[in-house]
Amino acid sequence: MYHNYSSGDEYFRYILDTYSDALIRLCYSYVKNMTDAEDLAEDTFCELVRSSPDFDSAEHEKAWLFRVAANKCKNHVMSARIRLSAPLDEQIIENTPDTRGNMQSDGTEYIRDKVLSLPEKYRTVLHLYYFEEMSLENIASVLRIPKATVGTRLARGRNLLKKQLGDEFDV
Amino acid sequence: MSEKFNMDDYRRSMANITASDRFKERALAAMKETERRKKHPAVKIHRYVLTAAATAACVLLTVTLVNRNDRNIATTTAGDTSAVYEAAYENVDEFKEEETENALLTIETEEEVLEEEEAEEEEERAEEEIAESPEETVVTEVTVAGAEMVQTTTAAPEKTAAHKKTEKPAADREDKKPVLRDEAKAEQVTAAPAGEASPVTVSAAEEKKAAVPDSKTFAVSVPEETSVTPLFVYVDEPSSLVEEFSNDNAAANGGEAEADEEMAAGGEDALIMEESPEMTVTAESMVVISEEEKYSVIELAGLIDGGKVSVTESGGSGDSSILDRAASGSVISAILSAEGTAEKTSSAPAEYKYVVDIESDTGVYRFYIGTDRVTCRTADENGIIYISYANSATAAVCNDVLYNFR
Repeated sequence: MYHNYSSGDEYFRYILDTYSDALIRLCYSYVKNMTDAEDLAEDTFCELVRSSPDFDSAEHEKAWLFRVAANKCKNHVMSARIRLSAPLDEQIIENTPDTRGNMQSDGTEYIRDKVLSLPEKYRTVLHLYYFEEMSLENIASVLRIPKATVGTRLARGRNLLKKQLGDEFDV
Repeated sequence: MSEKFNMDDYRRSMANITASDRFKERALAAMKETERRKKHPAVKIHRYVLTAAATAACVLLTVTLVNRNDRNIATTTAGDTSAVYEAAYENVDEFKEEETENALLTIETEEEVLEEEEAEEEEERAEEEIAESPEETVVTEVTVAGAEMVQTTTAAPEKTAAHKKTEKPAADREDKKPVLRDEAKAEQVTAAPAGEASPVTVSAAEEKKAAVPDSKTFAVSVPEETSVTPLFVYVDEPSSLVEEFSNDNAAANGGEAEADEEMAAGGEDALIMEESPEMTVTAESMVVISEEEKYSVIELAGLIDGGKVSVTESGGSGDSSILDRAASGSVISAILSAEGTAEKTSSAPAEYKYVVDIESDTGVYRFYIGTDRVTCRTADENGIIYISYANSATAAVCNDVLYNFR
């Protein structure tokens, strides 16, 4: 389903229902923090309202939102506030209620943490390819990099993951 | 962890990350607020103002850049427009570097003040040496972009043999009489009779006085050379100009022997030189740019914004004809390096009466003014001279240069 941009609750709700989860996941793959991921996703939606772009298709709409979100995440990661911040003590984090809602704490978290520990350029491509099931062309469009580069990063990301997990990982 | 993991596990893990209802409500409120602000008149006006300001800044920047390019091109203006543009664009990086250096030059620091004081002391010493030295010396003070440079050169003796090639019948010469007015006030500068080594000595102090247009006059000995030489335009990069100049200078030195021999044989040129009249240059002396346009020296300066006349040097003919020089590519009378020292002098145009430097904010324009022609040479702030012209071509190019600064 594809709606052209229009101001009003109906369109806003359609955007939020359609893309909230995907954008939060994408932002989470960058910032590895649910609170920041939600803030960045919200900023992306506000940017959509400010820019009110014309989309040709649903793919165009999705690619635009993903690209804006990716740029905001990169800016956020590079911002001075983040660079100067220090991580909380692990004990405090363990005692804090999980802000990730109903996230399971089974073995799947193990591989997620491994993927998210990869360098940013590899984990983003892996996320978009394996989770969002985007084609190499679409990923190249969102990240504004050549298609060949996307393929290279995908292969290197998989190899890094294989090195980290060893026999535990099955491609 | 004995079980095997694959990317499906990652997919399942990430699927657990979902947007909460609280997030959606908050995001919806934020979007509505953004929409409200976007429609607010003040925000609209603010956006229009920002857009207008950005557009104006872009236009201003473009105009500035275009003007600067035009100005750079104007300093290298020649008859062949395409060659000039090509040369200008090839040297655009050099222009930028030169401008940067010039900008640095204009910043007066304590070091510069000290350097200026040292330069003045050296200038005084040079004057003393000149007064004592029996050699023929021309001391030329050129003010370039606020920095004083002292240029000392040994005047080349006037030669006559080379004039054969460009000489015309006496009737033609009479038709093209000098348009410069003679003045009886000749003083300050000693000029030897034509045909001899001319000991022209102009002290720095005298030149400063000469900067006041109507206060001083200069008497120079000039052959009554009225030949019409074809157009020649030489445009090249400064470095190759230096090479060409060096080569030509070497060739000219070799040619001196031949010229001397011909003089000894009593050729026609020797006769011409003997008959050369003494000319006097004043601020009111007329300079013929073209048949339609004639300017006095002071008017010429007025055509250039902020132009100050400085008759810095007077001299006679060179050692070869313009034709020879055009063929060999010697077009430079002086190359002043960026550091302000004179690297090479002499080898002025074959025929000229005096040199008028017109200094403006955009550089120094040097006009070699002869009996029937004006050779116009533009020099940038670093004193690099790019072009030389003669006769009808001179007129067109000088016009071009002048019009660009009207």
